[in-house]
Amino acid sequence: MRYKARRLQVIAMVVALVCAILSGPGSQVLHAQDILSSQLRASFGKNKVRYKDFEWWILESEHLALHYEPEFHDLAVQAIDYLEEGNDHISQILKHELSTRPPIVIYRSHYEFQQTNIIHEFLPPGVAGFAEPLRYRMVIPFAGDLDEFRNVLVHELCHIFQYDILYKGPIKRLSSPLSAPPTWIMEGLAEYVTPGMNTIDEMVLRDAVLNDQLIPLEVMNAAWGVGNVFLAYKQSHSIMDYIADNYGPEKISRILRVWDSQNDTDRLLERLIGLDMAELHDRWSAHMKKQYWPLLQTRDYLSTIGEKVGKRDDLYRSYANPKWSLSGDMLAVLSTDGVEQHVDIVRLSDGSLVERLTRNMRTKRYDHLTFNEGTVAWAPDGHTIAFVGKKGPKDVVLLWDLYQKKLNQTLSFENLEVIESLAWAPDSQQLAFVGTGYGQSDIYIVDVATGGLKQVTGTPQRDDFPAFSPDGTKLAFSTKYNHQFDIKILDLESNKQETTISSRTDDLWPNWLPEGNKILFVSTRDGINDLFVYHLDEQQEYRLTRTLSGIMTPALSPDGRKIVASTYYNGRRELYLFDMPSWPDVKRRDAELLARVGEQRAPQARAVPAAAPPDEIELASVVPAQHEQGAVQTRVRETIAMLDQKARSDKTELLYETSQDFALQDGLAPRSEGKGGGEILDIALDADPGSYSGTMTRRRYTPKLEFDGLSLQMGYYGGFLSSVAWLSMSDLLGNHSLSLATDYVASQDIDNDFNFALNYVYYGQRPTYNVSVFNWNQFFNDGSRRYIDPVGRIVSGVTRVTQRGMLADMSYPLDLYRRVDLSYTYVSEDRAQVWPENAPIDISSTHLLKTAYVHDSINYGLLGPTSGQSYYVSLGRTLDLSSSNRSFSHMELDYRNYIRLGRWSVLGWRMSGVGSLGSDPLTYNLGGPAWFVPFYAGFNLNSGPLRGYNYAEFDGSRVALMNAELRVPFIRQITFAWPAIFTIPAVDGSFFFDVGAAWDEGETLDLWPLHFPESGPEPLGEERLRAGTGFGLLVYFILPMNFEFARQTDLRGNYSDYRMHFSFGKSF
Amino acid sequence: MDLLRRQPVATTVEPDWRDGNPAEQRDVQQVEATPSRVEAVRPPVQMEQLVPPKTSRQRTKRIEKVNKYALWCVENDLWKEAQLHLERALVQDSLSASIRNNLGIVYERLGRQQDAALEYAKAQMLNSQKEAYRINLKRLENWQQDATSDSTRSDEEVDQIDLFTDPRRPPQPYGPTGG
Repeated sequence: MRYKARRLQVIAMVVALVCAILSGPGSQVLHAQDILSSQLRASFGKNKVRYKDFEWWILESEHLALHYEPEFHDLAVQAIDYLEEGNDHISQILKHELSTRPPIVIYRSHYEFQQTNIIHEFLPPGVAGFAEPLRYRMVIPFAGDLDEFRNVLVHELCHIFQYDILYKGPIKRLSSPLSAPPTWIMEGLAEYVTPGMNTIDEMVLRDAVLNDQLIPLEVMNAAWGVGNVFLAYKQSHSIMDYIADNYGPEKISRILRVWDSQNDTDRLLERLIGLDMAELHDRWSAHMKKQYWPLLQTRDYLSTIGEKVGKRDDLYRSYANPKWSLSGDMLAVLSTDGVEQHVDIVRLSDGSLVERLTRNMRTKRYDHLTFNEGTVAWAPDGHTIAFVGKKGPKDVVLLWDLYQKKLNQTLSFENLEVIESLAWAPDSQQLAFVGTGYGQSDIYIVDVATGGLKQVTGTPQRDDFPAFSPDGTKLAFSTKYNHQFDIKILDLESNKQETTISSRTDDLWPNWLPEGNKILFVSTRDGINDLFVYHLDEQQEYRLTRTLSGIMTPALSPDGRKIVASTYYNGRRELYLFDMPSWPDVKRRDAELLARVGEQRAPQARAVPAAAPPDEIELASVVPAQHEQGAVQTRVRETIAMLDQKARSDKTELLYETSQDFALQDGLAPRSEGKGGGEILDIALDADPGSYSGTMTRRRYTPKLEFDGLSLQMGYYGGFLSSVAWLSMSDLLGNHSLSLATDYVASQDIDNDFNFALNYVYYGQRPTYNVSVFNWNQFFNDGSRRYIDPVGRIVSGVTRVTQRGMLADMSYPLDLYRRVDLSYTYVSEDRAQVWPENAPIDISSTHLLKTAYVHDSINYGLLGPTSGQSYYVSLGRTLDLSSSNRSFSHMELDYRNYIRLGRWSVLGWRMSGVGSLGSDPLTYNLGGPAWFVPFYAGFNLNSGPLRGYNYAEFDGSRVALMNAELRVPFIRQITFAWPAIFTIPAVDGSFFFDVGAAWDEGETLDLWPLHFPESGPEPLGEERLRAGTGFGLLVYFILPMNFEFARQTDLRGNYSDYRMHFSFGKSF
Repeated sequence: MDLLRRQPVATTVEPDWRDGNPAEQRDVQQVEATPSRVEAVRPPVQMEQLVPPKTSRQRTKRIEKVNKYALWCVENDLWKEAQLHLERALVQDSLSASIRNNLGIVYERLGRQQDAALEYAKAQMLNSQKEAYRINLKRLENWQQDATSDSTRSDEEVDQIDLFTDPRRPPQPYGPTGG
């Protein structure tokens, strides 16, 4: 699985832990306000915005149930085709038949995939799909390339097979004693069953072999946490290939079965192939070296023929997608420094930053930058730079003006969600790009002045890397046919296109030379990306490079004399600059590179495709002239409709028949009823020999709650036995979630009590709705009630607080960073003494209305925020509906800001204030470290770090607090070999200063002088500000841990002794 | 925007990053419309598609933007970039005295004295009231005369020459701080 869905387990753990903590007996006299407080406290965090109300249908084939939206029915049929084929393929390899029909969910783009409710974590662009072991669900977006789509489908389907072999059915994982096999086995196997590596995969693997950066098998699992994940995938894949090639493919099918009885990786391998992990790694790496080292004889390091752009010793900064300035002195690049990503203008000579276009990661014009292939382009006018950002549910093109140093224009397109591969026309008025979003990706040209959009290509296969000719009359682009990219040239005036460069390998990234009769491009000849020049008049190609690392995204300078290109070297992407030879030198270079491998150029040897793709397609039928004017939205819709017409004449004809039938669903009866009332479709894609020819049924998705998770926990503390059970259910798409938590608390001295909380959450729309009902008892050793026990000791009495009521919440995300929360809470509290005798204390009830506005645009690192700001304002008011009702108002403000100092250091500061006014105010705590202290049995009203003091040392109905903290890096990634192999990814040091106070109504707060350290409490009715300062060590090991040493101070030279705080969680 | 405030060192160079001077518009008929020599570094933009400014205000704003950008380039030691943008601006609006003057400065810095002198002269023709243009031209002419008559100056003398205006000096990290 490419992204492990651990949500259920995590939720189970967290809920159980929280329940255990909340239900544990307290050691202090506290008001039973935890449920209220949890409702009152706003929390930070970015939002998962569901921009769209999805309509789901299910297409069931022999082995699979595919969930999809009807608007991309054709893609769903194609997916079934791939999956059924993949099912047969995997079944043969693993010698296993699935015990059930796994539910598969596909989305038409990555951005819709990000809105899935099957897992609630944010899905970054690098996640291509995921499968989860509990209910065998796999979720895949279409990313614009059918081949890649097929590969991901097959990869994730293999994980379903793995789960089925290991756990023997859905849900059974919960009761299975097996631990999961190491990730490298699971992922390596899934990669093994998908079609072979592409040249970028090989580039990464080759680089690791040649630079001695292979990840040892013993620590490879850690790479999925922190490390080179991409390399880990490719390495795992290669190891599986190695096992299959050298020990027989049957070993692959046996791996998981052997694991079934041996859940130790060394023993597994020894039993399987007679080697342990270290031996396998040695043999495999020797094999890889034999494969790649001979390349050193005939190939060049890019550093020997070019010059790196940027500092050689800068290990974290990297540039991608370079685009030239008018003079060729600067480059516009996508840059990252290991913490943030930006669009920058850098100086070519030394890679130094000249101008940052994206000063903040987020502006009003976009939520975040899109760092895909070709998402920056410098216009030939020299002062307009286009880049891509995501705004709301889709990408927009942003035009930044270098003269004015500001964003000037935003272009957005209906139905196009992902935008890549920007390319300007020579007049700087037209911008070509690749748009994806309706189950297909195609090339478009937009007129930036009018917004007029024209669709240029219209095949189901991927089209990419558009490039205008110097006179602007032609467009070269790569297009996929028969699973490989060729380069076509489209005449924009006649709308005729011709396949110009075609070979048995991929031909990518065309760049026109200024003279207009030659094209520089990358080809994967010999399995490595190298530069070639194709002479259009001679119809002859010439090799420019024979590199070791390979070349990506080449960009030719405006004068045609320089090339800047990306490569993958030493585990990272780097930019190199090298000369574009003059034409006679191109020929000489080609001859020299051929001679190097003992070849000679055959005269007029035009690269001829193995199977020539259809040429001379009349695009006029695809893009009629009248579509070149008018509103953007209409245009896109119309061109897509035209695209459908064209596609009918292609091999996907029957898909569109299916589409037509489907369109009739609302008005006409289906042809026949399948099992469960579904419509039966006979899909026969005879045009494609590999197509699925079975029967499919189609029906509308109806939510059905299914078992999701279970957690049981028991504990004993201070005479109380506590057992917590948690049960969760949700529907397949995760829109409806129901959970029940129960808690049984018992003691020999008190009556037993049964607690429960029933919670329902609806995620199916943009707002999230949450309703809970609960009956919850808590017990406290009540220090205010003391008794003499039978042996003469003074002991505290035991008080029980019963809370019953309901919560109703609604949270509406305005965008990724901002949301509005609204809630109503009803809590009835019944306090009674239960030991040594039963006696009622008081009864009260609270009706609370609360609203909050939350903003969080912080970038988080492993140990805490790295930049940005967050704040919330929360207001609450009780309703006085009866005399027993509590009456108070709640106001809270929390503002945090983080400024980067250098690359890793962060200066953070925070100001917060909270107050509860009225006749029955809440009490807030202050003191101690910021976050979760394990096994603390108190309530959730601690207001944040006031270090140098005890946890919750102060309380009051009003709290004010200010914190400042400087965090500096100590260690970035250190791996230990003893006592076990483990990695600590980050250790920071911190220096902090906190000042704050808690007080009640009627007390006076003196701001100066500060409280004298350790001088005891202030006189009654008075409070002073208290301050603490110190230093700390922040360590990320499994989770963030803080070791803080703080002392009290009055800022007049008086200090207390240091005291140490330990806490979990990220810094404030 | 007035660059004069930013040039504490060499008071002889008068780049003008401001435009819209009424005098430029008055002198239109007197100006020779021949564009200066543009070094071809890339295929030319299809000029027929470049829309000339329709109004005086548009023209003024465009000229000001280009001049401002050229200054930014010069401050970042990107002289070639400044040159190309100023040349392009001239193709669209050959009657801008400030652009010609600034292009002259850039040419001078890049060692193209003849082109620089031509641009200064045209700037002066376009706006004869601007003293800076005349001073720039005069200074360049004097310098050229000195350079040809005294090609054997001592190193000490060379050091006293303004860094910005002396084309024999290597490029400096920051631009026209003199003038």
